[in-house]
Amino acid sequence: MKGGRILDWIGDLRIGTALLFLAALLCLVGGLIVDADRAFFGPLNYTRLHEWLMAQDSSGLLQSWWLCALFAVLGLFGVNTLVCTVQRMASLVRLRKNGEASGSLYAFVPSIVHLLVLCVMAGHALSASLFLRTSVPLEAGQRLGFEGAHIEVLSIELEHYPPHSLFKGKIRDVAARLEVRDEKNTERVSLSFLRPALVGGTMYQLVMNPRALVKGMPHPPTASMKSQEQNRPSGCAENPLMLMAKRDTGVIVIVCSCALIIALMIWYYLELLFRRRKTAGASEKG
Amino acid sequence: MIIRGLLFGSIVLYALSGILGLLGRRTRAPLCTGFAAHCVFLIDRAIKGSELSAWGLAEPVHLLPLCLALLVLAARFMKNESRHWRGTELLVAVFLLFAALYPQGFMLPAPQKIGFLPTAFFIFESLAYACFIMAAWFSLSALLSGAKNGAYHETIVWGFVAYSIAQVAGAAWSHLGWGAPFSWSGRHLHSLALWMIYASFLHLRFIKSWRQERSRVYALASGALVMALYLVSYFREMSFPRIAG
Repeated sequence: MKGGRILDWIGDLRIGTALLFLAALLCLVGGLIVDADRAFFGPLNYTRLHEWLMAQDSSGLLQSWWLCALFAVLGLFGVNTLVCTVQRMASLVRLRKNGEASGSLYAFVPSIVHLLVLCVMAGHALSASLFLRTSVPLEAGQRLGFEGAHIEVLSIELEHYPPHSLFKGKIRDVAARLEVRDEKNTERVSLSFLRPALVGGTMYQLVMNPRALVKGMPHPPTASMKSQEQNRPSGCAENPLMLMAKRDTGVIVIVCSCALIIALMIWYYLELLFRRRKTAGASEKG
Repeated sequence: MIIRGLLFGSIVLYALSGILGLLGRRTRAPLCTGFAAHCVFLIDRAIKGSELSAWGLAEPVHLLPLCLALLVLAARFMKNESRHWRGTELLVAVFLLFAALYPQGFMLPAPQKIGFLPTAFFIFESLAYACFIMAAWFSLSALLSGAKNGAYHETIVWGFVAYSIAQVAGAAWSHLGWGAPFSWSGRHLHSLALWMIYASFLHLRFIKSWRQERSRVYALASGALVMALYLVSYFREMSFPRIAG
């Protein structure tokens, strides 16, 4: 009985909503702080989260107070949502067993969406703390070693905007051919912007960061990379095109969960709309 | 010059339509004419940009007034002439005026900013912003008149769905273009904050002690935040290098 009350308190909707609002406020403040000090927070985008946090001294941790607070709030929110959702699903199962209409499958959709939101959060946590990534300037003949594979850039083809275009002479796209060799196989793949290649669980993609170049920031910074970073900061300014190799186990969890959330959300709200209209139509006839 | 004239003409027509709506008159003629002029301006921009994508057709600063106009038109043609839609054309006029005064050139199109995902992201984000701003207008009119209507809630629900789709498209785009589904930057953190704010709004109605009036204030404050983030983001982008304009 007492345990049930504690669970009710932990899974209280008021607490969950308050935590969500608090997390939103922390994100708002954090966004302003990050934009104000990009030199300090920029490496967070290229470094594993726990490694970045552990590398900070006391003043660095003080500067990232909002980040620590955000993780604490999101952790509590995760527990709250899990308890609340499990309790709701348990009561729906009871209703279904009793044959009541409110226990229909449709009523389970919000609970499933909440569980999927937790999966997205877990996916982001995995992605931020376990990713492996390295990059080199994109040049023909460039070699890269990543997780036991040897990669060589065979050729690069730049596609420019045509002379009649407003953007004439600017790069429109880049097509690169790579050879990926490991102990067992040799594979040749083509890639271009937003069209990466996946070989043996590793994704190869082209990246470019003109804004970082304008500000003189090397992309990505050489610090905290697991593999030997071959990008020279000075070379980066000469060549904004980079070849990136990465392994990110969290992304597949995020992508699958998000796709399901969107599909379920659209179906749920459309169903709700039709049910309401049906009820309104019936009451008008009555 | 003619095209600029059409743009300012459409602003005047939207404003006229909004004023007529507030006076309780019929608004279809100025609204449709204004929308036609608005579309001609956008098509001309698309042809100039030589890319029929979000990049050429409309930067997000031009997409938001278009989405607002589409919502108003949809409401008119679905015979939704209820009181809370009156004057909403004024919102279109205000945001279109901002777009008209904004630098008219095109930002340099980086290769990873062209394609299906960025286009989907900008369209759904602008659609969501339009819903959130419209919901803030509804809640403001409900607060001022004291009338009971739940239109703002339904608008926020569809805005939230559109915003969620935008965030998923944005995460996929960020993953393919920059190597990570989330970036520790102001843009990403503020998007996450907005999603959380509206997610918490949708849960408020299930709290028994929560009153309807508070939800209206919440919707209004959230809409104001959307506008503030939108304006700050585009004021910042004003300094970016542009071509032709």
